[in-house]
Amino acid sequence: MVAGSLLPAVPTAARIASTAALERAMEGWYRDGLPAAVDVRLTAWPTVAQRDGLAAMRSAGTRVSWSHTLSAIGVEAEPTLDPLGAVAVRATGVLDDGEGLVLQDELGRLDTVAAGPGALGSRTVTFGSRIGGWVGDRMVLETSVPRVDGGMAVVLGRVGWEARFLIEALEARGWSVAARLEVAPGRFVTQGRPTPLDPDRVAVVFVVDASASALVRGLRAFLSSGGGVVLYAAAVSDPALERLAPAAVGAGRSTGGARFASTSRAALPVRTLGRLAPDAIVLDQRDGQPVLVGRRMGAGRVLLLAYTDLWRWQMSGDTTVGYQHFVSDLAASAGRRVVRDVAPASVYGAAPLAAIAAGLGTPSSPGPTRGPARSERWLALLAGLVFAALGAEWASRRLRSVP
Amino acid sequence: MSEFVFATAQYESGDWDSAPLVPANVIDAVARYTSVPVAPTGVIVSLASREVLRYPLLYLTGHLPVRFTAAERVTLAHYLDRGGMLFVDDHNHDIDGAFHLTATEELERVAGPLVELPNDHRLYRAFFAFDGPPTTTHELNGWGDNLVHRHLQAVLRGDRIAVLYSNKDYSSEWSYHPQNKRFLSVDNTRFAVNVVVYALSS
Repeated sequence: MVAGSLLPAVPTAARIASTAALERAMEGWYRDGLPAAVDVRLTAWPTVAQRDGLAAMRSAGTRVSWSHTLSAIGVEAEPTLDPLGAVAVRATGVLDDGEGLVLQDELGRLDTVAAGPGALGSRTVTFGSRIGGWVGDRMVLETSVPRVDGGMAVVLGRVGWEARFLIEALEARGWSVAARLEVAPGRFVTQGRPTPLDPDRVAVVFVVDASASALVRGLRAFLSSGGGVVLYAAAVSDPALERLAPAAVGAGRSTGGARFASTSRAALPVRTLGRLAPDAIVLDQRDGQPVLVGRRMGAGRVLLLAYTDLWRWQMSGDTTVGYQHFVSDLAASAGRRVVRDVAPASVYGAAPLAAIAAGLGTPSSPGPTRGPARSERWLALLAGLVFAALGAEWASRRLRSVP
Repeated sequence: MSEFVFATAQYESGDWDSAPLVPANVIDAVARYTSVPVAPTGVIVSLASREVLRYPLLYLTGHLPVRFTAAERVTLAHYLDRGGMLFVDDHNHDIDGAFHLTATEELERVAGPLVELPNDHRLYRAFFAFDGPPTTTHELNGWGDNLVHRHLQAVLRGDRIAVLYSNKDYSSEWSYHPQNKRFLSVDNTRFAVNVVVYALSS
């Protein structure tokens, strides 16, 4: 009988004790016929072929049960608005002692997120379009880098060095920039189409001085709709713009004796930022004083910058890129992200244990929980020490007849 | 917010201070027509000093041969790389003159080739509208090359003017006390406003 020669007699059940044994067993099943039931213990990450082979067996009628000693890990890639393509990567989960999750894109190895039993970390790096995660010599996860539509940066203010160098730096960094610069009462030098401030078109607005106060209503609506605004300290001298600010701007502070032409952001004069709004967050400090403060406003974000004459950094700084990076980071931090074209993750998935469970069903045992167990042990040890100390003190007082 | 400060470049060779009334006249024009905060007096900065980095627009003129020192060349190259703009005017208005021949050679050595600036460049619409560089009363005064120079020249960095070079002799045209503007039917310093506004916005 032809069918009998192709599909030999089916064994009853199989118990597989490790991932390594699974590979050998599957070869046999494919050659000799599928078992009626299989119970697998995954002691290392299975290959995609093994994982999907078990899922296919389950679909074909084999009762598949499984347990594991694997770590639940996942990775998330979030693009920033930086036109050069920086991506914030966050890896979560816990790995075994001595293990590290190595991130790699099309161009090769990028970074090791963590090694050892601690929680994994995050990095902001420039990646290719796909990121793979490796533990040892085995690829365990893969995710795609979504693309963002950064939109446009708009610069509002007076004709002057601050606006001029800001525009040039943002453009050098790849931003599309529109500007509306007052040059005489009611007269403006414009670049591109700065208004209306539509969040679908504009990601971030820089307000370098108080001359933009006529647009404060538009700025408020822009923030409410999810846009980002960066206020320079000089802008907050206008009461209407001050109401948008996450802090009050005070007098100037000295540069601590640093010469102006010396070199860097640290030598620039700043204004004092005080009376922070309750929901304000200090994003950067100098000499213990805030120099960059942010808050949410509506669905958007507003940042307040303490520096005055920030443009001098471009003319006098050690490098040409420091100022450009800084203002581009400001734009990316405040700006609205519009994430587009999120490609589906590959067969590995960004959370591999979840992908196995999706194919094979819930595991018969929950697997290891390394991180919390360690901290509970430490807590129990600490509690024991506390009780022992209390007991010793009580005994000491009783033995000395102290009430 | 810092105010605009008109800066004159001092260089070791030649006569850098040949047009001492120009700064006051340009400052007067900027204050008269625009709301740009402007310092009431100009400054003089050595072209060899890092102090030039405080002033992203520099004015340089003279009649005599120009030969920059090594320090002046290094500082000027750095200044232009960082986004500074140098406005050079030939006080002889003479394309065979000593200043023109030597200054253009020095500028090309430091900054790159000078090219003819199109008369529809944004500079000519930066504040007042011109159809090219305005003619000066000195171009046909019997001195110099006695030519009307139809174009300015420039060293460009991308779209931006890094060096603006003129044979128009604006240094003579604008060299009078600002209070005497009232005797002119058309203020001849209006183009200076364009140069300043362009530098501050482009």
